[in-house]
Amino acid sequence: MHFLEHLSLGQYVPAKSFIHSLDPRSKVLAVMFLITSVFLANTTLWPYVIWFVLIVIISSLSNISFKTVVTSTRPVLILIVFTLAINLFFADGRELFRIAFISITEEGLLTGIKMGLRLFYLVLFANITMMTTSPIELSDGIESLLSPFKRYGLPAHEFAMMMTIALRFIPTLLDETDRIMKAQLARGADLDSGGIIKRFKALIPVLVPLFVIVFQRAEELAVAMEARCYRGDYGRSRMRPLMWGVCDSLYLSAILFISASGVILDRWIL
Amino acid sequence: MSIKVCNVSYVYHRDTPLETVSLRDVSFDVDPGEWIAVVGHTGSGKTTLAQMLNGLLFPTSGEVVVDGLKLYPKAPHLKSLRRKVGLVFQYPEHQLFAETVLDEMMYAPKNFGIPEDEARRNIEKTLELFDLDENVLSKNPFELSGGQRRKVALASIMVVEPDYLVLDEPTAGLDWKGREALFSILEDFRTKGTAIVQITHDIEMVLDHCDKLLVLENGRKKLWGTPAEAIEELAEKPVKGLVLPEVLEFAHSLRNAGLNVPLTWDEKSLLEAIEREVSSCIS
Repeated sequence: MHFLEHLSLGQYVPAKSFIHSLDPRSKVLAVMFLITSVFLANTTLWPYVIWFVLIVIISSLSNISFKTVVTSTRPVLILIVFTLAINLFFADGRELFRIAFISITEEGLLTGIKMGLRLFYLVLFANITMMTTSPIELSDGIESLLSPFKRYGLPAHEFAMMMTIALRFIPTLLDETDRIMKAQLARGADLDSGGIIKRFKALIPVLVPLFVIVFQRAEELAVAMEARCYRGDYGRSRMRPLMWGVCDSLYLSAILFISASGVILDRWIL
Repeated sequence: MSIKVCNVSYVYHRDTPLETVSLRDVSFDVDPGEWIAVVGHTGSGKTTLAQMLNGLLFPTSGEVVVDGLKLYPKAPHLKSLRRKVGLVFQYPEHQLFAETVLDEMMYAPKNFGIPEDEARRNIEKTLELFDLDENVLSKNPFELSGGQRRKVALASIMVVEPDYLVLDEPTAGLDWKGREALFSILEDFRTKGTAIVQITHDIEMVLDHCDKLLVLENGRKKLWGTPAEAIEELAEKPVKGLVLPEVLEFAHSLRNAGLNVPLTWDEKSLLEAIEREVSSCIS
C-alpha cells in the first residue's frame, strides 16, 4: 500500500563510487555477459560461488550495502522460490526421499537450486546496475548500444526516448497512485480485504483518476516537447556525451574474464 | 473529545540510503470547533502531518490520539476514526472517479455504512452549503468547471459530516473569488462545531480565520500560538521560506523606526494607527 516506504527494485541511489562513475554502456554489457554465462553453466554449483563473490565485490565497489541490494530484490523472491519449488517437486531422477506422494530427486534439487540462483543473480546484478545508473544514463547507454542497428531500420533513439520517459514517470505515477489511494482510503475505501472481485471493484476509484492523470500528463508532456521543437534524433546533440574510459575497459574485461572462466570451469574442467 | 498529537516523528525510507526525517517531535492538540493552521515551507513535513491525523501514515515514534483512541496500523477503530476525521488532499478534484456527481457523493457514505436515506438527506444539505444546484447530481463530474469540481470533491468528503476536517492546501489553484467562497463555507462548518485543520504555505490567507497557528520548519515545531502571538514572534525571527503579509512587514519596520503602531496585518487598523501617530506629532 505504501509504495514509498521501501526502496523499490532498481531504484537509482545517487552516490559517488567506482561503479557509479562507469560508462552506462560498460555496465549494461557487463550485465549481459554475466547473465549469459550464468545461464550457460549447468553441470556443477562451483561457478555459482565464484559469481556470487563477484557480485558481492561489485556491490562493495558501488557504495551501496549488500544488504540493501538484497532487500530491494524482495518482490522477485517469490518468483525465485516458486522456480525452486517447481523444479524440486516435478523433476524425474534418482529419488533422495519422499514426503507422502511427493518424491524429491537429486536432479530436481540440483536444477531447482541452479535455476533459483540464476534468477537471483540476474535480478541482483541488474539491480546493482540500475541502482548505480541514473535512468537517463541508462537509456543513453542503451541508445548508443543499439545505434549500430539503426541502419537496419531500428528506431534506436525513439526506443531510448520512450524508455527514458517511461522510467522517468514511474516514480511520479507511484506517488500519484499513493496519493489517490490515500484519498480514497480517507473516504472510507477498503482496499485490502475481501475476495478478488471485491478487491478489483474497490480499485476502480483508484484506477479511473489515475488514468485521467496519466493522459493529462502525456498530453502536457507532448505539448512541452513540441514547444521546445523536439524532432527526434535528427541533429540532436547531447549535454553529457558518453565517455568510455580506461576504467570501463578494465571493468568490462574483468567481468568478461570472470564470467567466461566460470563457464569454462563448468564445461571443461570440473 | 479532541485530537492529541504527542511527540510525533516520521521517517521516510527508513533504514535505506534514502532515509529522510520528515517530522521531529511535534506535539499539538485540536479541540472541537477550533480552526488550526499548519504553516510551513515546502518540505517542512506539513503534508505528512496531515496524513497522520486520520491514520493514512503512522508515526515512527510518538502517538496520535483521536477522541481517546490511539491510531495504529490495522486498528479495529481505524475506519470509524476516518469518518470522524475527514481529509481533503491537495487538488481533491483529482480523486473524482464516478460517472455522476450523485455516485461520487454516495461513495463515502456507502463505505462508512451510512443508510441510503440518511445519506440522501446529507447530500441535499451539503449541496446547499456548497451553493450547488440539485441538477448537478446527474451530471458527470468531468463535465463540470474547475471550481465546481473542487466543490463537488470537497462535498463528497463533507457528506459524512466529520467532526474534524483536515485540508491540505485547499485553495491551491483557486482564484480570489473561489477562495473567498471556500473560506465562507469553512466558517459555516466551524460554527456548526467542526474543527478545521488547514495546511498551507500562505500565512496571510489564514491569519484572519484561524484560532491557532502551528509553524513548522524542517519538520520541527517552530511556533504554536494564536495569530497575534505568532506574528509577534515571526516578525522578530522570520522562518525560512515563510512570507509574512506585506502590511505586517511594514508595521514592523515602522515600529523599528520608533513609531508607536501595533503589529497588525490589517491595513485599516494600521492606517488608523499611523494617522493617530502623525496627528499627535503635528499637534
